[in-house]
Amino acid sequence: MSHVTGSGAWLWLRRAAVGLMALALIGAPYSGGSAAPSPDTAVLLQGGDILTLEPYFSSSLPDTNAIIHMYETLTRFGDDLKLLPGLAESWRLRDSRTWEFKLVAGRRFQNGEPLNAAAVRYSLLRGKEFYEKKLGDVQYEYSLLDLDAVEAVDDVTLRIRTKEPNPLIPLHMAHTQTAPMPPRYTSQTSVNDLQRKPIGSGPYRVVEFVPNERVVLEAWADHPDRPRIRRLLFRPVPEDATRIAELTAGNADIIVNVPPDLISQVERTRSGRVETVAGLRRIIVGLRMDRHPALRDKRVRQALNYAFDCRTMMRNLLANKGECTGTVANVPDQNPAVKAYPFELQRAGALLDEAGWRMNPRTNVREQGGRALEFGFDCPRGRYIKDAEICQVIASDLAKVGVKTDLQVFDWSVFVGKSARRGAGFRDIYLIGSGPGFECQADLALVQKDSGSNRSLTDMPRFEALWDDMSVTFDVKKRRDICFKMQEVIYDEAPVIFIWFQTDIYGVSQRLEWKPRVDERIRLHNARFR
Amino acid sequence: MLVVVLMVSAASFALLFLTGDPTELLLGSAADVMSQQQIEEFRRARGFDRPWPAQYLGFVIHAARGDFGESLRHHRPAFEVIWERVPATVQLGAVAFALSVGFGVPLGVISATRRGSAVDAGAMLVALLGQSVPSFWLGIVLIMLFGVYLPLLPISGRGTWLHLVLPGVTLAAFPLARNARLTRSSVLEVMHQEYVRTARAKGVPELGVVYRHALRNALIPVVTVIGLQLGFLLGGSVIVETIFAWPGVGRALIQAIGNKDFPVVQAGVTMLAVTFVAVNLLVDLLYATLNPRIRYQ
Repeated sequence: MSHVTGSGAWLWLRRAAVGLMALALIGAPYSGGSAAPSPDTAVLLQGGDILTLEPYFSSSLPDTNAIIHMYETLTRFGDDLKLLPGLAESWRLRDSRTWEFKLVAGRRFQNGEPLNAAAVRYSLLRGKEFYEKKLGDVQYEYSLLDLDAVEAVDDVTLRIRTKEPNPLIPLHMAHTQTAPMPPRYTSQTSVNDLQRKPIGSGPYRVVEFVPNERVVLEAWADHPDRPRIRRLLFRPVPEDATRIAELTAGNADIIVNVPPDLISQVERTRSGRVETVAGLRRIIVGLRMDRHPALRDKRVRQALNYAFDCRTMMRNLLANKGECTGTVANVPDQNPAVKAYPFELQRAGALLDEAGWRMNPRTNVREQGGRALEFGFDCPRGRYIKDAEICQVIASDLAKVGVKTDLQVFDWSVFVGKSARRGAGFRDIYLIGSGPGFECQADLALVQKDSGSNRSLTDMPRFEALWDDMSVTFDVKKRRDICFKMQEVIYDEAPVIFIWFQTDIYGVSQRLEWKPRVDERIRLHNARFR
Repeated sequence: MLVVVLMVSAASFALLFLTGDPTELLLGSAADVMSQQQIEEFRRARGFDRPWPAQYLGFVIHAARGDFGESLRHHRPAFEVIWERVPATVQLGAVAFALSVGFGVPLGVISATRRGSAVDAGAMLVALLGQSVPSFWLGIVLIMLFGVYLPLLPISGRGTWLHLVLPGVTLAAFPLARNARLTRSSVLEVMHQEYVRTARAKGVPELGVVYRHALRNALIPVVTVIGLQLGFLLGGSVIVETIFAWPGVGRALIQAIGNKDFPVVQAGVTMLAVTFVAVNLLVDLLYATLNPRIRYQ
């Protein structure tokens, strides 16, 4: 039997192990990482990486939370979502297709370039070009803008003309993808560099961008409203429990998406507290009108709402961190007279009986003409708070009134494919969330018959008549009145099972004075340390 | 090697393609406000309407020139998206490898030489736990113990060498346990060989019998497994990277799959395939070097 010689296995292993360990340790740079935050730095832990700091290339929330500190927009939403002046001090409708904005005079970008109407025009036309060439991530915003022309009348006067009348242009000017960018720097800088070293006019500028690890912003000394916190450090921490551990250990100031069942863990710590806000994301179960015939009957749709015990679900599953709703309009446009459907099993049963769906005592499933009241129920997992669990609760509640469901849960990348083409891949009912439109009519587009976001293919004549009215009404008060009436119709027609406006739950350090906003934006312009 | 890499990349491309093109995922809410014609224009502009063999052929031709295309999410070269994460992955993989070998092999040897004793039982219990405990649970427990209750180590992220400790230990747990058990059984098998008995009969001290005679032969199969293990470690670990927010390749790849970011998936899969094949080749060559009875044509 021969032995192995010389450079034997053990020698190789030892050398390999030592070599690799040395490689790892030598390669480990001495730099920030997680540690107790310094007194002048606020540390924000988000669930996703910041991929880009160029607003035209992103609409993701982690990116936007950094971008809103570096860029400003012509208008902006206040904490209560009222539209406020930003870089524009006023605006007016010049004719049915033209809005005129008056800019604040004398502003500059962080590199000294003048922030005037020409710069805003340059930026908007750049966005339009990106949209037409299918570049960047501007498809959503610029399809809604539908720009025809942009004119810089003088340094402080800008006119925006759209292809069709659009009363919502001032709202769109609050979107980061309309943020002005310095023309000379932007045109001379590669796209790659723009994403890492952008120049805006906001109160912060980027000082460090380590992909997948951290972004550091520092207050810009020459900004008219200099923030009180000198530095912001953004880090991606995907795992919920890890973010909570960092907050508990005193290493973070704001963490996002605290799961409802871990709220008590944060509340028990000395270093952190929980802050919640009813967000703008509507969570509903859509009811497709083109599938099961029962769903075309308003009584059946109402019955589904009465059968769903939303309040018990809110208490048991979501730690009471939210409220059930009966509308799909967001604040501040919610009709106060429209409340959530009450949980009334008997009434649900009576409505189903009235609609001709009788309980089969053998199967405990309702039937009509030999056809069972059974729905295919499609649900995403991991996209919304407790989405799969909410679906299970609803399925269970519906079963109690004899409505059977075949629940299937999908990963989001698969679910989104089903939701395409107005939900062509969905079966009968589906859980989905929908972001805000920031204006009543945009919110209610969720159930408007021609809207791409109407995946239920709902068609409510009373609602459509009000919609047509609203489309040609520019008076704010009249629009509000129509908005309230439309919500009453939606409640009565019940084209969806109403659930809730997803609550945003944050963990916040005790040293930070900050309140969350309803639009999920983490804005630290006015935050300060205690 | 090239054939293997091509086959792996073709298979991954086809599988991802079967889940549908990424148009709707990329457009997100925009698809709701665009007409079907506009969506089809977008699909055509990005080349998603072509049959998958045509798309794959285009990818191969460009990849041969080092161009894996632009990431659909990151809007920059897909290769860059993966490559910038390689140092972090190699770093963590190297530490886990060193721990798994540096502790696993000696544990196995000690266990084999004290077979039936309390030390052997203890070592194998540790090995059993290492292979049974989910890395997710272990990672969170280590975070709570050493990051929160005894704040001795950083909890997440990458920075100093201290940041490597918790994820390194978590990632090393399973391979360490496997190395210990494999080494133990291999040493036990070799210790019954005639040449070991001869060495003892010649009066060689027991320590010498084990380390100078038995171990060298016992480690040959262990080296093979450890070599393959290195390939897995260098491929990144999604779970550990997610728990510790470690900026590695594994997490990037999973995100790219979920986002149907074809170019990044292809860049990542190709890189992993090359790594595995290279490590396998290295192990095969090393095997021949270590064991003179093995010679390749």
